[in-house]
Amino acid sequence: MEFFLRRQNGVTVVALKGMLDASTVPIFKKEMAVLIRDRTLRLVVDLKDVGFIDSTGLGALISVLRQVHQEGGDVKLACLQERIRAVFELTRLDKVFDICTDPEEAKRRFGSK
Amino acid sequence: MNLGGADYVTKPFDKGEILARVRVHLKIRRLTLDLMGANRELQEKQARLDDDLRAAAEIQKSLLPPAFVQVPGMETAWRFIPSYRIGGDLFNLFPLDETHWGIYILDISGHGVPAAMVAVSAYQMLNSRPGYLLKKAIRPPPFYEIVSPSEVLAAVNREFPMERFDKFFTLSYLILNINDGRIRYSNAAHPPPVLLRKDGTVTLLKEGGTVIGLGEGVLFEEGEARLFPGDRLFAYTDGITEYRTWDERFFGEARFYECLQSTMHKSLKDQVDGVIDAMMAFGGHEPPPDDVSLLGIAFGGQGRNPAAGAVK
Repeated sequence: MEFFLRRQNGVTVVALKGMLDASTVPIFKKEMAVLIRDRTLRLVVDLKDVGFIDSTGLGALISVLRQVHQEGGDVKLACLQERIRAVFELTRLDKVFDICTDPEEAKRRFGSK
Repeated sequence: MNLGGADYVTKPFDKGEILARVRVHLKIRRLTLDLMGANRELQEKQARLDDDLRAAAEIQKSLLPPAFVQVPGMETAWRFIPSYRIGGDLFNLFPLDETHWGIYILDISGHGVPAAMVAVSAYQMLNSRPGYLLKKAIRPPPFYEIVSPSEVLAAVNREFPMERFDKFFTLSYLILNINDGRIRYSNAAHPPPVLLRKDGTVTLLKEGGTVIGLGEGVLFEEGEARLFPGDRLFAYTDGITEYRTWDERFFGEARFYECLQSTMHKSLKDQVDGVIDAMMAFGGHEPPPDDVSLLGIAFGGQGRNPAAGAVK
């Protein structure tokens, strides 16, 4: 799993590359914990290069969302591949997360708040 | 050198050099013994962990319905393959009263002993004794009320906030009237149970809500369906559809439904076995990385229990 961080106008885009599953979740959680500790609370997770998320991966995203919500921020998801979008629709997590077409849209939605 | 010696000295001997070499060899021996000891300890620890995992898998299996469960007018069959690293699948079916049976299937996120332990906790909660979650105790006869699927899911969701065990789960709960085949159900993000009609049509029981664990304020919608004689119902976990080949091709929903359709003329048990066998063959019989569960019910339609009262 690779991480690419990009900060712009107070919004942090975390682009992931690889599979988000039991083998990569510990690293993902650690990286996100650092961001949350540094009060990076306007987060966009870019999933363009993520082809597979299993239940552990979903759990990690939910857990990050809940922590960020508690601190008054939000996590938006962007660029979901078709298969990943289907997982979010099946689990109705598309109603729990704000899902955007791309990081630009996510940034705009943060801006309009 | 090739005769098994680790070192050799040439004549004439130098006393100082020999002593130094002997000291080196004594040190190597001590280090080797230390390493072998540490290795043995590690192996013992690993063996203990493996034993624990095996024990957890057995406990998990013991929570599944016993083979002799007989639902009046129904045929049932199931297969469960625990993953090599232990998952958190669990399913059950049990009478709620003379006319109604409860069926649930759930899948705890993650793997290992913690997932199996959360499954035990959920099992304890989803029991059918009056006064527990599935049957509310009330004053007037018959002194109980069957709780609706959406209320059950909402209650489970309140009891298992993600923060409690750092786990969430998907759950499908169905109430089946064994006399007229009516079903009320709700899914918490669980793969929708499959209703396979006698004519081969596939209907998915899709209503519900999101995963268990998000706490207050989450709604679970309820759906209804009806089984007619000859229809079959299948509940499963995503261990089937996410089973994949070494080059990352998934077994997938479409193939799963097709398998159910192409085996529909077999006995229920052969159908369940046939689907699991087809799945394992697809993935080259690699041990599944996630628990695999498939529960099938065939509705006979002549299930009227002589003791049963009027249909509610």
